[in-house]
Amino acid sequence: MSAPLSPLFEAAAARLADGGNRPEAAAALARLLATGLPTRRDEDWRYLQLAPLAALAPEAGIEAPLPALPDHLDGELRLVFVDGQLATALSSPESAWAAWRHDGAVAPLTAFGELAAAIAPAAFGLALPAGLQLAGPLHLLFLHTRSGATLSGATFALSLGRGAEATLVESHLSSEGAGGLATVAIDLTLADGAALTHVKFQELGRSLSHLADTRITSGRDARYKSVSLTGGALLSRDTLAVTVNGTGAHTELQALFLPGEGQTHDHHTALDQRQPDCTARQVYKSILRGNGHAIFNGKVFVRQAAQRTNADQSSKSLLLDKRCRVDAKPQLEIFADDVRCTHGATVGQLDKAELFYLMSRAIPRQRAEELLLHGFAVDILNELGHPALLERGLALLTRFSEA
Amino acid sequence: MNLLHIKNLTASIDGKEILRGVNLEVKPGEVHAIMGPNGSGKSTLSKVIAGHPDYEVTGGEVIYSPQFRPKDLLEMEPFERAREGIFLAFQYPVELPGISNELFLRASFDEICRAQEVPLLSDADFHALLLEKAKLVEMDPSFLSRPVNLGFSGGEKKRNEILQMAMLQPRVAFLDETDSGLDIDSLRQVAGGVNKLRSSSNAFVIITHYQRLLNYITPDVVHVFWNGQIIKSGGRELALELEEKGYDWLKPEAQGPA
Repeated sequence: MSAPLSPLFEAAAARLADGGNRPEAAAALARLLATGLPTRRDEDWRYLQLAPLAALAPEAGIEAPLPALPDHLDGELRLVFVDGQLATALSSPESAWAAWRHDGAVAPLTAFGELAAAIAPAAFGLALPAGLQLAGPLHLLFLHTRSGATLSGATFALSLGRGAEATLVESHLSSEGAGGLATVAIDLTLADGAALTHVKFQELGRSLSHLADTRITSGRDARYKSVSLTGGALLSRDTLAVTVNGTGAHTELQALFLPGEGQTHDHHTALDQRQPDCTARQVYKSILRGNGHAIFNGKVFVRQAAQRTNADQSSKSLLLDKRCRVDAKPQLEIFADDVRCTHGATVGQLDKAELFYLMSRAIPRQRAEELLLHGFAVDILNELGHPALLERGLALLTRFSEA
Repeated sequence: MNLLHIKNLTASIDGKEILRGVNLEVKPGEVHAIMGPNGSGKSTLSKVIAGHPDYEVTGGEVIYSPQFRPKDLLEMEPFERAREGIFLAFQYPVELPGISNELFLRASFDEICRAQEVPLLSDADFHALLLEKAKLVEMDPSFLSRPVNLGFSGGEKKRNEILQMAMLQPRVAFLDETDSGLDIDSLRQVAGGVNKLRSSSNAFVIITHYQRLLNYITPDVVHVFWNGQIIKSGGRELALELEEKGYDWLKPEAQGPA
């Protein structure tokens, strides 16, 4: 322990002490100190500019007014975290969820997830009992309000008992000018027959970097569906891992990411099929503008026991400028012999014939492009299900196409 | 007054000259047929009029006079031409994945309403109008919610072009080989749509290889296109003559003075 800690790790240690040295947080920090932050030499991180994050000297920052919350939340169950801290005043009354509260320990996937677990002011989790069918969505809002080189971490654990069903809507929003490093680690556990639809909106300002771990564990006949929309942040990295531990489970992973000028959006997924007769479908789509950079890495492991696995993966990118960059890498490792697995990656530009066809029908170029982007993204947006969420997804796409 | 006046128009693609001095006058209420062998440039003419970016106009002019206000068509962007009432029914209609026929037509219709300063329709009124026009071209309403042209048969794509024409009510419509690849029923449906849209204020230019479409749509003028020019014009009977004799007998005439 001779080398001095970096300002980032020093700040993390101080936060840990502030949080009362919770054992699981202390363990997370110990693991983080042992491994350090990843660098470009690590295969899973090679495309990201991590040095500025590692060199961050966290500041308290200056608090700005809260960002506007989506207007579809009224009357719906919500938990709001402001700079990592649960804000009870903004959340649904405790009586609405207190019965489901549990200790909320998470098992992070990456060093940034460990950082989140180490510095989170408290661990927070909910356990939905067997058979519970949550009527409306459960909203999880992570708000960032402080400008400057701030550091925040939050964790959340949700477990669904046997046959329970829920929709989780995770939103990451920030105040004007909020900056720094925002980390989050989420664990989702689905017992046998449980069903979870998980929607994520990452709509952070351009001064923030967002590093998120999402770990999913599915039981027998469980259905997990993820729809992730990534619009904001300077650097955004989602690491999502699904471990399928039961037969007959279905996993659906979908994402739309929209890196514009100066932005990097990275989605790393890992799907671990450990049991027979499971199905999975993965569609990751990106639209890039300016020098935007999209990264997709999709690992699929089909273990020897996972016979009759049926898994499709596709990655599609639409490049609107010459300076955009896409790195897409499917990675299939199949140890079972009776499986059906497909994967494909395409990278293209707006089709000139399609543009002319639209323009020949009185539609100006800008609107024609918007329509084509909509056509490209609509299958992901339609997966949002709820009309208010679809509207929010469309608005995100419109903001991108008008930028 | 001419609705469309094409004067000595020349155009090329990738440096290769395709139109070599086209002259054509179209008056309101007229139906023109342009016939000619493959590669004569007749499809190019329609694309140049619509403003296709692959073609370069190298000479001549096109005066378009909607509501007796002459405009230099070649100075206008493709979407501006369409707003002002120029329409091209594509020989190969383009598929638009993820964009429903209704959304597409709504976007297009609204642009034209705005340009022509007509109030926009409510969603319900627009849908009702669309159903009415679909009926005109005998198209099943289920096609309206499907992505534009995706998975449509050849005949369905061509009928979809006529549906768009019916919705957008153009002043000058070019139909580029709309009859090619159609069976007799589709041909009748497409022709029926065109006949119902004919009026004293609009005009059609029908580009075709065969005179069979002209059994259903009676043209006022028939032109023969060859080697990038109109080499002969005549009445309805010229089409029948071409059907009988082919094009070869006309070619020497093209060598002589116009």
